[in-house]
Amino acid sequence: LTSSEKNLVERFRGGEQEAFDELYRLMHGQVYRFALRLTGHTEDAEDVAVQTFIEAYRSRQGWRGTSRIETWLYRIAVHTAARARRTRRHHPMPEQELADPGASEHVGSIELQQMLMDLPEDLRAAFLLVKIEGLTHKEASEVLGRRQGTVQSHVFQASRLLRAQFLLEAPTVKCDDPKRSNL
Amino acid sequence: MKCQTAERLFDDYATGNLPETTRTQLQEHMRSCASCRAQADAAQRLELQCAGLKKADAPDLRDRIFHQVSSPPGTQEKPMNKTKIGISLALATAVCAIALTSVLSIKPASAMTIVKRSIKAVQQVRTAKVITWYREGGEVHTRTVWSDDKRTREEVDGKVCVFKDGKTSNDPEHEAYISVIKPSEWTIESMLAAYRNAMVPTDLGMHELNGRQLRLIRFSLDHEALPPSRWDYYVDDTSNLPVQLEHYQRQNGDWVKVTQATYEFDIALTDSLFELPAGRSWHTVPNLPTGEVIGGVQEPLDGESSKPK
Repeated sequence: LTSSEKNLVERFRGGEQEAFDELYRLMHGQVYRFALRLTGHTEDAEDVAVQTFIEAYRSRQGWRGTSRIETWLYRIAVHTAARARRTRRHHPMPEQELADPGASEHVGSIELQQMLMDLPEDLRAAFLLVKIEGLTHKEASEVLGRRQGTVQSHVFQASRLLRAQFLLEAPTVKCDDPKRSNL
Repeated sequence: MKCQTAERLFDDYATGNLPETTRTQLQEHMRSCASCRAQADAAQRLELQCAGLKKADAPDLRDRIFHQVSSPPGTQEKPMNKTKIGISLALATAVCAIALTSVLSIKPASAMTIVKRSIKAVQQVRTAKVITWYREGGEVHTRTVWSDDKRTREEVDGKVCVFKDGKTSNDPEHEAYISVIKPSEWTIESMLAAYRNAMVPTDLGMHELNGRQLRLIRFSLDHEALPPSRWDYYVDDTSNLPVQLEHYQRQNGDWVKVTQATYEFDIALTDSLFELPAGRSWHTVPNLPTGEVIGGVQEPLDGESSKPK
């Protein structure tokens, strides 16, 4: 942690409202964006982001402060999203949500977002943390509570599945030398 | 270079992070391998689209957040829009208590053995009735579920929703829940992933509950990102089936019961129970999820701070 981050963390853990406000200003964009990519749904993303900050505030004294702030918040967001997903038994279909013009303003890359929603949850979360949010594999492993090797594997698998999706849209190709192909 | 090796390099190739020598080797391979060329193109396309995902305007959520953290307990708005967090607590209760044992690495052998037997027993049951009491927005709600392997009838605060073979009733007064809950799905390891290595089960021996002697297994959650919680899980020592689950959260130094659940397994369920209410019709629900879990209770929660008997 940088000295300014340490200072913010200490003030936040001490319950200082201004520190919480500062944390929100610094991080709410990242947290919301991550939640949006994770859930594929703007309303759910707002709920997850709100709940993430509330959980952070309530559990601030239990946070050991050994990881970066964003790592900690992502971690809470992953838990919150997982909990919401299990609860949401009237689950909206991603295709319907993403086809909504209002949603598309936030979603950015519709095609990839739809592909992401087709990925298994573990793979999607790992891919988002590393490839979109720019965390290291080690940091992502802390967020997800997984071994670093597992996260690396998940990111690799996610990339491979996404590439395969792109290739499905292109003419089929075969490896020139079948002996060297692993496809 | 083999395709298998090349495949591991596509991501770094697309981002320009490959060392010069490796990049040259990969390019040489791709000259004779159309498949890998296509994969590399796909990787670059993926990289471009990832850049698009890094942009998203976040709405101002300040009011919703700060309103809740500054409100006294019981006056907060519902934590999740259009979701039933209370049910989630019940779900988490059931799941964590029943299925966590399969992934926990540190636990007393006796507790693990007992819960493993419970998991096996639950997987073998065919029907169930579960009543759940849970808190949401400062109110206590009731959820009752009758279920066999193919059909589920559910009531939330007396409002009915019936599910059958991937269809649900279109009761406009009830949210269109979309899952058929199978008793055998109550042990779902994927639900435990979020709490992996954060829960420790303890066998607390036999306790009396509503006149019955039941074994109490306690799961304690110690996770820096979550409020301290514990799940008290009462098991019938003869049938190995769960009888009652209670979820407590630490609030202001006290353990507060937030959800309580009881189960009845292998009971007779009549066909008429799953018939649609008059005037309703079936509609098909796509993407039926798996792994739904339920929990339940027989009597209202008994106060803000209670302990297992």
